[in-house]
Amino acid sequence: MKKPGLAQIDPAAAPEPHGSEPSGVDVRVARDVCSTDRAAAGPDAQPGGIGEITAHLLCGPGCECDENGVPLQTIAEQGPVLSVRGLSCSYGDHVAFQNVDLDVAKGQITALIGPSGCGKTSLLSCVNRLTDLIPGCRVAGRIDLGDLDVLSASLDTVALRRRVGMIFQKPNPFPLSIRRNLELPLREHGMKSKARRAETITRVLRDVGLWDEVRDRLDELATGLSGGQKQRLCIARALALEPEIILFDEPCSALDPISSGVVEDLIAGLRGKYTVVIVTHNLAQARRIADRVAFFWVRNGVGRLVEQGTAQQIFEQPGDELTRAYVAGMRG
Amino acid sequence: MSGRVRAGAFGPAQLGNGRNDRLLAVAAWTVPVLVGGVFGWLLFDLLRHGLGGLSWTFLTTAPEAAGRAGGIGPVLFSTLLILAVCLLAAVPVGMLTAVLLSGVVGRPPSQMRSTFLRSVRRSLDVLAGVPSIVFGLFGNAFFSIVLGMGFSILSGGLTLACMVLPIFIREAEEALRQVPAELRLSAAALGLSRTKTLTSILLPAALPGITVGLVLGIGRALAETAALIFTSGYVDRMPGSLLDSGRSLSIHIYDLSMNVAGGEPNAYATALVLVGLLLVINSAAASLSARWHRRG
Amino acid sequence: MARPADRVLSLASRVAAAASAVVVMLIALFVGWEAWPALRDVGSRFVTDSSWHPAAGTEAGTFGLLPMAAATGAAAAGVLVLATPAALLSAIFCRFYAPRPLAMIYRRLVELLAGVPSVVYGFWGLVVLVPLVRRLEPPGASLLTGILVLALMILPTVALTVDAAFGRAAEEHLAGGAALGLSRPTLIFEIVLPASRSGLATGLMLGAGRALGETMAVLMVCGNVVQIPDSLFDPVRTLTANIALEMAYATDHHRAALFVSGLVLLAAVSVLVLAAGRWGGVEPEMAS
Repeated sequence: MKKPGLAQIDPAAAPEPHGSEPSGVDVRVARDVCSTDRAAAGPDAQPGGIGEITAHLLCGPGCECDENGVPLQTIAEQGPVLSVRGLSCSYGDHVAFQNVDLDVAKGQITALIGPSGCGKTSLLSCVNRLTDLIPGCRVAGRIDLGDLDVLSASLDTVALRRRVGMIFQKPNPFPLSIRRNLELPLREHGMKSKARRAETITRVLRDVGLWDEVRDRLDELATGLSGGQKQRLCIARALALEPEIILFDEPCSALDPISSGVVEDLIAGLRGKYTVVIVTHNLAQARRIADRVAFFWVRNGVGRLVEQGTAQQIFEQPGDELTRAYVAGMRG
Repeated sequence: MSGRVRAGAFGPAQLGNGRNDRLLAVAAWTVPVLVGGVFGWLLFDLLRHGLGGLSWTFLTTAPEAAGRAGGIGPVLFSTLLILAVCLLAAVPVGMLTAVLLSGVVGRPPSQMRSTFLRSVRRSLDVLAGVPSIVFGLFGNAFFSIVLGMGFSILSGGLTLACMVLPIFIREAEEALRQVPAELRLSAAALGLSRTKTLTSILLPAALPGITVGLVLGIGRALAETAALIFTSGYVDRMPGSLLDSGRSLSIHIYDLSMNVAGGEPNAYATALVLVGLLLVINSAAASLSARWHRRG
Repeated sequence: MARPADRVLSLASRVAAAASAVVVMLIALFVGWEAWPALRDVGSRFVTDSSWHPAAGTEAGTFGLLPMAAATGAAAAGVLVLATPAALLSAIFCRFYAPRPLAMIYRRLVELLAGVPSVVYGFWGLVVLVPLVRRLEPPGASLLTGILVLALMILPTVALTVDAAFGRAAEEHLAGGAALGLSRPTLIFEIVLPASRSGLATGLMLGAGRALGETMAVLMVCGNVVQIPDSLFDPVRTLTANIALEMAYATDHHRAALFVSGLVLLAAVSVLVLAAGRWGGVEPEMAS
């Protein structure tokens, strides 16, 4: 890894776009085109109608972005932000998946597809160590997030989860006010200034297109929102922490078609600003939004990663017979 | 360098959280340690002072010298009689009520019937909270005086039945509800009558849960004292009939410790018998319900 | 469609349900009936009389229930002060700190504790706690001893209810909170606790109801002196203990006066139970 990326969690550090990097690496050499200042100032909304997204993970030395902040680099040039090697996960006697190798590129949307029960959700839970909360769950192998050894026993999981956002299948806002929902994680992670928290809340609610819908009722219970609004609030809550990577676990499957479309557009709009891994059963959705796709299948009761590649490869020239059958809708 | 998530807008929150977490952990551990300690103390105390007095003779012979000497034979017998009366009264009424409340038999309730069901449920909630001494007052006024049963095992048992009723109904209703709907539907599809469905399908399937309710009710009845003082009375002789007064184990403990100088050793032994019985019964209920829930 | 057997079953179950529902009304009716002479002839003197000497009859006797009501209230309040934090910590322990097997064992222990008869608690308090408190300050049998024993008895009821409510809230929000990197204390106090407020309220009200209505334990450890307590070490007599002590020989208006105190207890507990049902909507976990 030649660039930090992680230090740019302070979007509001006004005079300098990126704050100062304690390691001594001067991040200000980053191109202006990526600067958060510019994105914040620019009134131009992102495609998909979700408003501007100011955070950039890509603004480091050598970062290459186009005007919309979409990275021009590929994995080969930059190295993956998340790399999974030989990962296996089991619950008691049941093996959820075995021997998975997966690379996730910065700023891209990686979709995990495959039938139910092939370990896709378990894989997500390994990345932010939610598996720790599941009794009897054992994980073996290696996961690297940037230069962080995720599965290390001495890892501070709270710090890890601050860097890895997760959106669940069922929208899960806390039974608190909309404002509290967003404020709680910010305060927890040390954002002491009230004004800054308010600023961040406004920004992320704009980012998810919820601001106009809830600006007058920020102090009402979040549980009173509609399903789609709840899910967008959860996304806003994750965005507020400026995660390096966001995991989506079938984020649209509990929503009605219209809300589902709104959330899908929102996720598509995260491309380039955030690294996204999404589990979906909806092949059309994967095709619409994913840059890369990984296909999972169950063999002998154990989940396996069958094939991965760009969305085009997987959907148009799959290398494996199973993949071909699955994406053609013949199986699963 | 990636460990530096604490930089920028997010200050060094981690340390503070860690300290709070440790403080809370210490606080959270004190309660179980205290509770376990007190329970151990109580049990140890009972064993240390009560075990010596415990013997087959103690369990079978009659008390002498107001209970200071002798055993608890008649007391044990009266307790079982009171319990039997209580269950014979509470189980049929409770079972039928549970069948109605669970709604597993018959049509979906009409407006009027659902109002009726709601008020039944409310009354049972209140009944479950009525203080035992008030049950005692009621039993004395109603069973002993108005119905003319006097201080008797019958009047004590019936008073306890009123007490146990809400506990038993709650468990039995829950057990009936837990029976999978498919069973009921397939029985109906086969043209079985409601009565037949209930007796041959629902009740057997719900039996473990109903047994849990029964066992909890027995536990509650055995533990009760205040409701019995003015209904079944104090007499520690062997009862000749259900209309005789009979002393329960719990009243025996109370009387020996409060009213009889030098009654403590036998009070300890009796308490040990009672607690032992209850521990066995409650453990049975717990493991039964655990096994039942695991299966369901 | 309806066969004879079905009709019998339907009728029998309705009659049984009505009978079950009627029990509580019968209780109110009969306790009220017996209390009526005293309510009629003594009336407001239950509140205004300063002492309790009912045996002398309506004219010469005094019927002040206030000291005993005060003792009952003080005991219940003290119990809540002790049992609330203990129950909360107990549930926090079970759901967030204990290794799973230990949490199961502990929960089992609490259930067993709930099954120990009050007369045994009372007996243990009498022979163990009273002498201990006496060493602090005589006479030992006191409001404090009563509160300690009652708190121990009530704890399981409240702790199990709170634990169940915590379980539901944790199931719903633990993963979401953890995924945001919230620490355990934040998760517990900012999310799970507010989410289980109604469960906590239900548990506390049921606990308070039991504390108000408990007889044997307080009868055996509180000293039974009719007075408004000045300190925790004063011996007191609660309404329940009073009934148990005097019913054996009470006649006429004295007996009726005891039924009046029963009526007061019944009313207080019914209000608590109904409020718990309305507020919580949470099925209370019944302690056996």
